[in-house]
Amino acid sequence: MIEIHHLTKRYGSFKAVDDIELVAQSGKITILLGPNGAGKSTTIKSIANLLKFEGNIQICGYDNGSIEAKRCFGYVPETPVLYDLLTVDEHIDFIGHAYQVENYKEKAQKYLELFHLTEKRKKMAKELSKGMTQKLSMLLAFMIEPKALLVDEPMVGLDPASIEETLKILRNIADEGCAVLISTHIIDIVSDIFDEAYIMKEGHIIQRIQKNELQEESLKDFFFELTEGK
Amino acid sequence: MKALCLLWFMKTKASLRNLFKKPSSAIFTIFVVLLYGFIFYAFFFLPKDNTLMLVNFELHSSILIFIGFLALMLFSTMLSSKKALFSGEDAYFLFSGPFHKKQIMTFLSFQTFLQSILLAFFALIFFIGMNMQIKVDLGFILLALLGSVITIMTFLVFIDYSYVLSIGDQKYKKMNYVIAGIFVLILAVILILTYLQTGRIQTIMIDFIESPLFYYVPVFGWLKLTLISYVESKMILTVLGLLLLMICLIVIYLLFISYKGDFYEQALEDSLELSKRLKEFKAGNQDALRNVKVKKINVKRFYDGAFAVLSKNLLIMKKKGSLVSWNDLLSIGIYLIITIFSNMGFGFFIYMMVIWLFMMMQTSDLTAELKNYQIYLIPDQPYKKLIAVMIPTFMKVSVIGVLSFIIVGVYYHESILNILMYLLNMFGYIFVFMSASVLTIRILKSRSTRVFENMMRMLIMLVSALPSVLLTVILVMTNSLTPTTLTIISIASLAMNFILSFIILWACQGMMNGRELKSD
Repeated sequence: MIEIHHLTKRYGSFKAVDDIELVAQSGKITILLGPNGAGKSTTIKSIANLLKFEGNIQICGYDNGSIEAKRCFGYVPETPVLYDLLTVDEHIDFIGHAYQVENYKEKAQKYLELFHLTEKRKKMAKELSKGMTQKLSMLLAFMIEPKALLVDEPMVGLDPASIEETLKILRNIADEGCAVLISTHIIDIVSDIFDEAYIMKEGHIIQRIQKNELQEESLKDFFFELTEGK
Repeated sequence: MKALCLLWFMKTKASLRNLFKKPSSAIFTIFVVLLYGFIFYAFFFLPKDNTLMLVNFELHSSILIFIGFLALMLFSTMLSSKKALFSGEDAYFLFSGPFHKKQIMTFLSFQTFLQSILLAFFALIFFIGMNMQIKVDLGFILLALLGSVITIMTFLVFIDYSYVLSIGDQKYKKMNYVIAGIFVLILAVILILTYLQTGRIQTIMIDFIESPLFYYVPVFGWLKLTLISYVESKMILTVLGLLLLMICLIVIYLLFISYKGDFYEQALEDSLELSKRLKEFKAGNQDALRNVKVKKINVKRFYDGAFAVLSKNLLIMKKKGSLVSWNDLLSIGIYLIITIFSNMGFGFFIYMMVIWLFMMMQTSDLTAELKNYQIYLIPDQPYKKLIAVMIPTFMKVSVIGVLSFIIVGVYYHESILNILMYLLNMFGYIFVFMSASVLTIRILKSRSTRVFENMMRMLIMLVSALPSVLLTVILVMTNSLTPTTLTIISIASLAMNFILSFIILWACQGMMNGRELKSD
């Protein structure tokens, strides 16, 4: 579970995020929606402990800066950050040992197959296409079997078939008990798989909605009503 | 052409605006300008021993070091495999916009001219900073500026010319190497001739520095001829040197602007590529500007937890062959040759090695490593992560440093105790330089730059020296300065290097958790 309480982030006198509350439940896919400048990226970076903030963020019941929280936390950034000269296999070895994941090779193998990366395992990161690097970045986050997963704009650079596969994988990971929090502005892609949505605008959470509360209305229409078409 | 002038004006204005956008950057800019101003002021107005300009060994070697500095800058640009005529943005607008070839070439020449002036100023500051005690007049400095502007511009235009030629015909790609080879050959011939004239091998470097044979080296020799002749008041030779430089520049420039081939497509592609690589380089990727040959290495084992970072970094270094590279061995080989053939002694070699260490730390991948979020997410203690990140650089410099100290120490018949003391000093410097990098990144966060890092290193070195300075003052005042107390002072300074470094590293360990490192 990812819990955010009274999160505020200031840049000088400007509040990029202002006293927000958010909970991503275990076993559910929670999405964070918002127009550009709403504060999504700031929230994501704060959860990943990459920014100083006011408030409290807990991952699996631990403070997000603690080693215990890091151990159960997977993060897929918007732009993959990989080591150019390391091969796919070497990235897997590195993360497997860094997180001390038992039988990491078997766990990685599953995702290598799902992402069609098996044939690329001897390739260096710099030799992979943009979509492949995105898949490798996801694989590295998934193979540690996180209890809480944070995914920032996961579909950028992926082809339509890969998007479908990724959505299925994310659904499976959530069904296995993981709290999945996805930040995106492409509503159509996540509208089928989400369980709960938080909508941000100008640094505030302006609405929290469960999928079953939407009834006949689409998430997109609901979003545009709230954000006045932005 | 009006549009291109406007473009240049707006770009310059934007660069200046950017320098003064943040208080820290504005303060730094003003500090650098004042520092440069002070260096010039100190050079001309602070009292000196002799009042007349003299041609002596000191002047010869100073001019040659200045020329060597220029040559190093120019040849490294010339031999770089990554070249482009413009920045990516300029190339895009120039080649796709409504501009004639003549306009583009004029804009390029104008940029090259400005670049030459800036580089010449930079080299001159280096010359003045290194030679505060040399007595030369304003005319000499202006002549050095003019001569170096022409020299730099000659090379930059030649580099552009060989680049456009190589776009038209691949065989010209080797031309820069051939030119560099010819220069090396000429220098070798001059060294041999100097030896034949004097018959002394031990002082060959000293004889070479003063030899008039150097004036036969194209461009660089003519620059030295101009400057030495000016001090000797031989105005005909001064004018001759300048004329030779000018003729060379004019010939290369005419060849360049009369080039008829079509180079737009490749030039645009290269400009965009180089701009991208420059951005990566500024972001801390040390390999962005060179083609790294990657070796196939099998992973033997990865350590667990934070030390997986160490395994990963060692693996990358082995793949790049950068653990002990040929470049490092070559640099140290050159220091060794200079030390032995100029009869400078072990102390001089140590001085050169400290400079090498300083340079080595600048090429460490620490900054780039700290920009990868994965480091922060690894579930382990921050101090372990910091140690894991620092060990590879430490190993690299230590191995090379220890080997060179032992070789040179043995050559100069130094005692084992002395060599050990020097080694200990070297480790002190290594720790200071590394902790300074860490502290700079900790304080300036993602705004950290190399210049700030270097300033921080110097500051920590100064702070480390404070106790020994204080001790010296007390001992001098109490008349108890003896060889034994001098040794104590030296040990105190060394101990401070270690103590300060460890305090800094301990205080900075929290940054390996991430949130302390990203600039707000």
